[in-house]
Amino acid sequence: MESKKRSTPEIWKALSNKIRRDLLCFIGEKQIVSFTEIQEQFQMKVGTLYHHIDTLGELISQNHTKKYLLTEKGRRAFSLIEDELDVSAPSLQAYGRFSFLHNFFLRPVFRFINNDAVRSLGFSIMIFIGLTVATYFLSVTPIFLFPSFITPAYFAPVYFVISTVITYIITELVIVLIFRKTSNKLALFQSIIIAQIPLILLCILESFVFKSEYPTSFLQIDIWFIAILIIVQLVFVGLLIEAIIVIKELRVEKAGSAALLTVFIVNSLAFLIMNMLEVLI
Amino acid sequence: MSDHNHPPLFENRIAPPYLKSVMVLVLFLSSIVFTPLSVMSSSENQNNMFSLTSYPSFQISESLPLYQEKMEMVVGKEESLITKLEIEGGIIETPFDLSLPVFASVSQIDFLISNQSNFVNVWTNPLWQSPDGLVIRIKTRTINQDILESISTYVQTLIFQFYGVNLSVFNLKEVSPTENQISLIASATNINALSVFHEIFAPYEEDGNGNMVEIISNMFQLQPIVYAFGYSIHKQRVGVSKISRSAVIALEDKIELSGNLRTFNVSSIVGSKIIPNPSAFVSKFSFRLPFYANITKVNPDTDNVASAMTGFFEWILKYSNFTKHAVFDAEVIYSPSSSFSMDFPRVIVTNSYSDQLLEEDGILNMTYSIQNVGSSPAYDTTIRFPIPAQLETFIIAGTEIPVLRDDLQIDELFSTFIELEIDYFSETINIPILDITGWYSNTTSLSLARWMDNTSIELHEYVNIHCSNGVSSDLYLAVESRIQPILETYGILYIIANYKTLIRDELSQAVAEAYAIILSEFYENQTLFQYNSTDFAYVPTIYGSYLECIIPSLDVNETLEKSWRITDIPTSDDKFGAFSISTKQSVDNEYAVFKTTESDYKQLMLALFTETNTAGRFLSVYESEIDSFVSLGSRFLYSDISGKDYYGLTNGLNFQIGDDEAVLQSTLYSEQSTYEVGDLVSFTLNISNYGTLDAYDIHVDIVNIKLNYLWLPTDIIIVKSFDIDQIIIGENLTQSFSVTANSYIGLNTYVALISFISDKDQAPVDVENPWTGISKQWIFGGETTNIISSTLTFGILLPPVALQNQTRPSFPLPEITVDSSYQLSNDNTTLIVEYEITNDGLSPTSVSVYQFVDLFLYTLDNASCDLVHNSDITILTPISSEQLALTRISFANTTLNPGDKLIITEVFSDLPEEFTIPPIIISYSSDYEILETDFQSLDPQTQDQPPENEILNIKLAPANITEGTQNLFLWSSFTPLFTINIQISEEFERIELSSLPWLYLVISTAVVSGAIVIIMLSSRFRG
Repeated sequence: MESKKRSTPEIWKALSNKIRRDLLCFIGEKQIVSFTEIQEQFQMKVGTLYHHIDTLGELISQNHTKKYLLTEKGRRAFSLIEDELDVSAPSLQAYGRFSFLHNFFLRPVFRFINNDAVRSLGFSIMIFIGLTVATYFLSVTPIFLFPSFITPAYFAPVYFVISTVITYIITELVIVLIFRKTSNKLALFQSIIIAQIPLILLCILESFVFKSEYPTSFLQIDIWFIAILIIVQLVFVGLLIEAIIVIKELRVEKAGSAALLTVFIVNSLAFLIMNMLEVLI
Repeated sequence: MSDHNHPPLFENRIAPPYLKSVMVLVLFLSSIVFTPLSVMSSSENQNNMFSLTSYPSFQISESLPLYQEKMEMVVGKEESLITKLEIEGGIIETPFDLSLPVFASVSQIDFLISNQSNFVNVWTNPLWQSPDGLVIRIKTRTINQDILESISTYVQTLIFQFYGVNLSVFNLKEVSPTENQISLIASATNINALSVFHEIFAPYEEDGNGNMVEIISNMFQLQPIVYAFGYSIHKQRVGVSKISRSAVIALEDKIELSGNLRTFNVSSIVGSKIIPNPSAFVSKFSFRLPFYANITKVNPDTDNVASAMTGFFEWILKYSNFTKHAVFDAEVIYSPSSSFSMDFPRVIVTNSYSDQLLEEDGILNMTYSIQNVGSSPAYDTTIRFPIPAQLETFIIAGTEIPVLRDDLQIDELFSTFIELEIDYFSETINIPILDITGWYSNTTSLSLARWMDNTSIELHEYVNIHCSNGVSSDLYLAVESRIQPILETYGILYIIANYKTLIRDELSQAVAEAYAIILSEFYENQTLFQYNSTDFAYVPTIYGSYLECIIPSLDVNETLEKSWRITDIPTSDDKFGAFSISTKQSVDNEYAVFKTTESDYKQLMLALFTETNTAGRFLSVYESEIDSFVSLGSRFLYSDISGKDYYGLTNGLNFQIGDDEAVLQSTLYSEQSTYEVGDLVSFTLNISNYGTLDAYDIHVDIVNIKLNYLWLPTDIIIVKSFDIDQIIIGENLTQSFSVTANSYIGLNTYVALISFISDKDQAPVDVENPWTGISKQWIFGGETTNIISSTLTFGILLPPVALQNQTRPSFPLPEITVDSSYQLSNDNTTLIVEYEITNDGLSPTSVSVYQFVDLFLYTLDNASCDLVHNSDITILTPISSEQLALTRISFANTTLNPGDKLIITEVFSDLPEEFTIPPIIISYSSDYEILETDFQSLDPQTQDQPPENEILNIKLAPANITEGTQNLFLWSSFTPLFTINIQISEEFERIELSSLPWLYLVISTAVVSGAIVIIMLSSRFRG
């Protein structure tokens, strides 16, 4: 928001035309471009093209090879334009012809939540309670992305709640710190709950597969189960990305970055908790 | 970048209603469904989820007639009193629905709750062979591991539902090659034993059902030092065949002391008189002394014999519809004693038969030779032969059959027929009504011509009966009187249309009447098998009928002979005319065939036995459970000059009429008349084969017996066994042997029970019935197993010197006691259990010590067993083996002398939150009698089998005899069950998670990151 305050009227003028906005973005994305490249990209008369370049004024400059690049003001303007693009990103088909993946990753549910996070709260809490209770009876709980046998069983729900909350906090922090998106916190929390459903389903599968002989280490787990585990983790990440796209209105690349960072952090935490934590109660 | 300007897929950014609704519904339902799914898949229940629906939610009722209620009181150590109640039959509520498919192969279920850890205060060994806690024993007719496991799992869940306790398997036993027994146990500390007792005995605590249950219930309230109770349900393929309930309670200081005299008084002990249950078929009360005593008073008189000599006093309160004591009280005053008069009578009665008369005159003489070999006279010697059912019919009325009059003879060639020939206009209708074959000729006083003088019967104007060889006037009249009224009433038209239904019935009636007329003219009923005796009287009682002979006095060395006889046994010299009337099918109707045949004795006898499905062994009783004919001879009772009772048993005889048979007659005798526990007693066993066939596969058990109120042998203890390959016709076999006197204080009886095979390898014979001409199998003419008793011999057994004049069980038994403890490590990761098993008794014993542990629940890091003998320690190596998903650890098979100890240490790790350490089973043997206090309905103990003899199959004479070793008494003790619940302890606990190796973390992170990057790149560069 600071950058907007510092904008000058020239900037507004420069950006009031779509061609100039596209031109600014083209230079911003390519960082350094020649006039010929611009001409090839925009297919305009040279005079018209120079008019638009002139109008951009302080936003662009030329280096010693006469190639165009963004000035400091230009980069700010480019950032503003990108932000505007993010707003419309969720409605776009991020997966191209695999657009059905949006539905697979529960976009309608996340939209339902995002539409009115307070109204959907009851629904989300009910699911959260259901999942939490299930972990108690399973004696298996997801430690972030890894379903782990846990004893005593009454600690499974505690771990599940903590794991959910931490996942949310990390995701939220990443998005706030990097993309400065602070809106719809409640909706994101609910979406994190929904995203955990596949992990709980995996826990149920684990309890069936291992019956009373719960593995004390992942080394005791068959390779096919590990394969399913990774698929489930991918689904979780897919759900997380979809939730960020819908709720934080970020493009898929940014949502992916946020999810990637989140996964790095939570996986590190899972490694620490599962291997090094010894809690005496 | 231009792609960014495509219109959004959903304009309003909200999913279309149908998709949204479906998604919401799916998620909502899944959140609800997860929980019950998860509950079912939780670790406690996951094995049973598929059969969850079949668990009954309430107890089911099983019912049989209330056959017997029995209360017994036994004097224990230090004037304590052990009271036992048994109810057989009746109504019971149980969680076990034995009609369910899961119980298809179950033949018996026992449900027991016991607390016997303080047994040493009252007795020499645990009263019941059951560890403390709730025990379920399941006997199955299968050894299939999967079925056993499913039954066990089902029962565990069932018991958890009803009692909230977790059972675990603690013993597995192969009862036979096709039968198995699983024993499960749970701690009973959280179960209200008294309320379970009320549940089990509930129907019989109510008013109007007597007060025996109430008495036990009241004793329960007194905090008994030892108690056990439970029930047993037996199932056969058709359904529940036996229900037994039992409870035992031990209370200290219940016998009144007055100097050396002890008084046992029922009403002063239980606080009321005993009222029998009016709906029980038998109600009885007994009192038992496990030591030799001088009895000074018994009131009222007991119903069993020789109660003072056996220390066993039995009273019948009710039997069938006869109530002997509506309100019962009893008193026995006694003092422990080792003094006994060396002069007493010893009567031997030998039963023999004379068969040489059988062929000639058809008389069977049963002779009893009665001899007093003791040192003082016997008085009122009463011999009673309980009459088997078949013999009873002989005694009451004999057996009547129609036989040919002696002055008539049979002409088998003669035959004639009677046919109804109806002439109607030009039509003639023939109806055959009677064939007569084998008519009697050579009649002197009765002319056959007189009976066959009518060649036709004229009935109405249209009907004539033509007879090819004539018909008797009696038959003429019978037929005419039947048919004529019909003809007159309905007319001939109706007759022709309906003769089949109308006339045939009348004709058969007419023939039957004629048959009766002819029968009375040519035949007479003859009575067979008539009983007569001047010595024995027929005495019917409510307990059954006896042949009874009383000999007022019998001097020392005096011998008497008494007899009874069966006369009029048909012999092979006799001819009998069999006489039959049957039907035969003609072209379109049935008619009667009237036939006579001549038969001889044997054929007639066999036909009679075949038709009535009897064996002709009227001295034996058939026992279907062992498929044997048992002849235990006669029982007899006599008294000495002081009035003390003694009893005896004559030899049994397996005599069979109508077939060749090996008939064994046996005597057993010992010269020794008084001895102490542990003394060697010498015997002579004599077995003779007086039959007409060889006897095979002879097995002899030398047993101790007592006689109960029915004068039937009860409390049979096998002392020693013999196997004999063969005893040929006329062979007289004598065997001398000796046994250690180890059971039955006081009247120490010995009888040989001899089982053998007669008609070896012979198939059932086909017998043609001379009356009907139809052949049928007589199964009893083929190979059969017989059991006979020898004569009884006895001495007076006194306690060993060290135990004389003591009010405690008189036998120097091994007594196994157990001390045990366990210790959990501070971090609850290791459990150390220690057991000290000691023989605190008076004699050595062979022990087998083993335990079943579930190593899927925990890890057994170490198990050790040390034998401590006179401070010397021998290290024994435990051996483990797998059995039904459990591990059987055999700690020791050794001998424990008095004072010896076994010290067992076990170290468990990888402990679950809640688990049990099952009791160690200590099976041990005693050389001396362990007085039976256990639940009578449970399996009899498996006795040591005599060694196999390779030459058993070689048939030689004289016989090969294999003598077994003296049998031991087997018993079991158990260590306590430890239930460990780490979770509820107040100690710190560690949260455990599945560890995550870095490799999996790296793979997972890499795959997820890779996928994200691919998505990002493909999104970035698409188009």
